[in-house]
Amino acid sequence: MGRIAEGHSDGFRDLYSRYASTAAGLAYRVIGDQVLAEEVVQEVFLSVWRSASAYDAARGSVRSWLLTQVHHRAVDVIRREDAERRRSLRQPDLIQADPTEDVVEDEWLRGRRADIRVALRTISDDQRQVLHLAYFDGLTQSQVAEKLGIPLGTVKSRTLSAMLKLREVLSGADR
Amino acid sequence: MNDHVEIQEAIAAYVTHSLDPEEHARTEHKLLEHLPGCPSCTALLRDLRELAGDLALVPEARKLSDTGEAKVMTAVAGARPAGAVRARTLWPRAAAAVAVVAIASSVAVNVVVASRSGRAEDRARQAIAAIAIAADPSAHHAVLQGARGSLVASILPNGTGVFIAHDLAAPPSGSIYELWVAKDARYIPVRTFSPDGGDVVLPFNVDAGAYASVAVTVERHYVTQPTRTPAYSGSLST
Repeated sequence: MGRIAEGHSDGFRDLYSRYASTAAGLAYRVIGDQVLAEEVVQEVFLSVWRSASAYDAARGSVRSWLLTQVHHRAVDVIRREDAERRRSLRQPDLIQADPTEDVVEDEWLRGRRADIRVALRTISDDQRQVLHLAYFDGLTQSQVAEKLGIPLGTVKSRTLSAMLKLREVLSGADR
Repeated sequence: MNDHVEIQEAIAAYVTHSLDPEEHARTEHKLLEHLPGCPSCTALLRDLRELAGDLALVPEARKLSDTGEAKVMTAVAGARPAGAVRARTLWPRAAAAVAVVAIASSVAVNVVVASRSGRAEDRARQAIAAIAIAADPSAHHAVLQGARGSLVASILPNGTGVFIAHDLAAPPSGSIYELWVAKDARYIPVRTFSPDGGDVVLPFNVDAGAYASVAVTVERHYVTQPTRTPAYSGSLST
């Protein structure tokens, strides 16, 4: 990231090459629209190029920094756009293997994806449902509570317990 | 409920972006107040933020169009990207801009009318430059709420910003105001200042990036972390 902050485009190209398709997969999963998903990914990468110096290694990995920006913007988009219609065409359950696209992807990222999918099997159905609706469908916790007919406090506690369990399971996985 | 559990739940909601904008801003303020004195919650924020990044890997990767990649690489090569992607947030930003320009303009008019001295002219120039920043369509704006006065801030994506206050009370004797920008539940110091006759036009530069909010604290001297709850704060338009 230091090289990118200094304006070295080769470092940026490496970053793009490594994460763009992963970012696109995430944005598409949240938004359900290829064009909007591509816009989000472009916007985030351009933002990274312009503000690479804002990255602080002490606060987390580049991967997490980049992909959480993609997620945040994708969620912003879906909350503004009526994407329910698009989402109805979405791919199946995330834990199942999705149809593979013609994508060249970093081997480590593929392995990490497998680890996380396995970890998602270790949390309860209730926890996973709340996490999916909030993280992958872009609903607010209030919307999740309304959709499931459960108290907001339950959504909050299930989200936290799901994440703590995932942290525990993944702490044993090779990063 | 135990306050600590409440903060932990807030962190989980914060990192998964599952709060509406108002709740997100409130949560960020809550975390900004709590985290500096709590290493365990600071560590939890880091862990759960990393976990949120892991969850991002779950969907299958997807090929981007060659056009999209070309747009990004063109921008990186120095050319302005054709049809650059724009945030779809023009209305909230425009609404905040109206408030900012109105306040900046009133400060500028007061300054120009007040005196023809060189110092006043400098301030007028600053105020007019401030209006230019505030009126820039790419600027993010914050209207700060607090005890008294009209306080606004605008920041361009390149980190150039301006803080403007009108009818701001003087800080307590022996104190100064300090301006902060916040992102990722962390305050970043900008500069200290004291209002001159209630009006302030304060240009500043911070690292380029997306900031969540702007705040003003009362301090005895320049500090790198706030020593007390902000006297004024407001979320930046997205």
